Amino acid sequence: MGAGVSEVAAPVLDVARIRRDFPILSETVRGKPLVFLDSAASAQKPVQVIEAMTDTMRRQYANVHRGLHWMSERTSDAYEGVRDKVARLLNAASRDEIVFTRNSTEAINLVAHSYGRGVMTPGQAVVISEMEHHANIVPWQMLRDAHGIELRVAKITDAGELDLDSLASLLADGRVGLVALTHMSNVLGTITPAETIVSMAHAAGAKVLLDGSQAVVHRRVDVTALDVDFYVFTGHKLYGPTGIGVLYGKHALLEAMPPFMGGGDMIGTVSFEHTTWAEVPHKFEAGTPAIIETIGLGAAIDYVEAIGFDPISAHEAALTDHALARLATIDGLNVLGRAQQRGGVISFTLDGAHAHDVATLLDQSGVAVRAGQHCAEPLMRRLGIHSSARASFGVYTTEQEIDHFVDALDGARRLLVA
Amino acid sequence: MSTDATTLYQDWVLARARAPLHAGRIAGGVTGVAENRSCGDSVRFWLKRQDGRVVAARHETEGCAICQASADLIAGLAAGLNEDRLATLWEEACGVLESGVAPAGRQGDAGMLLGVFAGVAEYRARHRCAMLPYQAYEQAARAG
Ligand SMILES: Cc1ncc(COP(=O)(O)O)c(C=O)c1O
Repeated sequence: MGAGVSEVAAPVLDVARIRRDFPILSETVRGKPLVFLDSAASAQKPVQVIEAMTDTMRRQYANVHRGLHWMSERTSDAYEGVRDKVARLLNAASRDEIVFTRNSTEAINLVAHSYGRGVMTPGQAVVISEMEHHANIVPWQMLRDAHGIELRVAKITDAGELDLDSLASLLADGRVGLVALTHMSNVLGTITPAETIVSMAHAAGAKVLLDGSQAVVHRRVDVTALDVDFYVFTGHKLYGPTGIGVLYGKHALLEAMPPFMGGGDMIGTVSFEHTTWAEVPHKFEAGTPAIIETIGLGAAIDYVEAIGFDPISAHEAALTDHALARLATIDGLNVLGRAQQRGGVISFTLDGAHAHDVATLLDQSGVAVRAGQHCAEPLMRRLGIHSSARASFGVYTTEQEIDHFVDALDGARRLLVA
Repeated sequence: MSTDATTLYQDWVLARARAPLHAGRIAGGVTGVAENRSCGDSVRFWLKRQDGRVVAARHETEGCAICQASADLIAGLAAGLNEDRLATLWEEACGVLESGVAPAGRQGDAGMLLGVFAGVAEYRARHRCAMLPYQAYEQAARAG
């Protein structure tokens, strides 16, 4: 299904044109034009994704992998075609290394279950960091409690970067089986040094999982070049639908792992005495998959690839620089983290004002930001704050929107801060 | 109904949040705490009783202006009203959160509390901010 952004391939984004692809952006909120700065929580959807999904339901839909009839075969082709697209997106060595899940959370749980309980042995350790999303903390705590795996936490620096000395010391005793780190922080925007992490971990005999939920949206990811063992992302942040996520895993690792859930589609043969598993990746995809959502994800991948990751990264870097420069002019505003490498996510606090009050006042100006703990309570504690507000940018974000946001923020400050 | 910044964040709400009248602790008082895990806000209430009646109430609140103002108003009311009347007022306040309309002609802390609740009614995500302090108060009340 072709879902291109027509022939745009210029190094600079034609944002006005891109915005026309997102119907929701012409909605109003409380009588004001919507300024959507919450894409890091979930991105809006282009009409190409919406139509790919409705077209599937209108014209070409049946269950996959089962029917011998025309509709089922065509739907299976469309569904499996997305596996090829994801493999190309991540530059995986093989399409069989792509497992569809519900979201990043399920992908991480799959690894914690099947690799953690099935391959790792009690006494080994998992390393995470202080800047993980709860999705990359809790599954490892559950593994620790169920399977005698130690959980170690790498520190971050005050600038909000991964502390590589801390990582090195946690790896030193050779007992670490898996390093599971974010590729880009959803709070600080920090992009972590994936190549360095992988080489340090591999040198210490550990495998690496990168949580690419944020990173995959902003830059090209090459799992082969990174030599990373597992990589996860979630479709709804990449302009795709909810309900579809991806686990990339090296083939040999996926082969060695027992299934996550049991049911239809993941079996070879079944008898009451004994069942054999289907081949990788189907071994990990029990039950009827999210067919329509997967096809929607395929359209989203076509969409971002037609724009191109270089222009996307350049656009978001320019927006981030602009926003940081403008935010620096607001009295009492503190941006969290100052990583050298960062994506289009900016969290901040305002002296004398609570993030909730700031967010409500911004909402009254039509500006949607996130406020709270951003599913990263331990990070908030590390930063010594209770909550923060976060503005995040996407392909459709404009400089004018950021100016509107900063002006509204300054208005909120004048009202809230005596 | 639609509120703007000036109806939700009226001067007296912000003033009360900034300079609460009943912040602090009560040595030897009973205490209760409520937290909103999604945003990190927390309220701790202290109550002191004499002959079964609440004679003093204080709170320590880490939260937004709405939560701060609500906590301080409830603390003020807890020491003045008997517990049944506060419970009745609370039910009325929850009704205002649904309707968005505060009854006319109410004075003092009760009137202000109903005013805060009317202002926040439209912002569903903020209802918990307004309601959190009462949970802490109830905990403390149950504690002794
Ligand atoms: C860094 C990071 N990891 C994991 C997740 C979880 O994504 P999902 O809820 O789609 O599983 C998110 C999104 O909230 C995220 O930002």
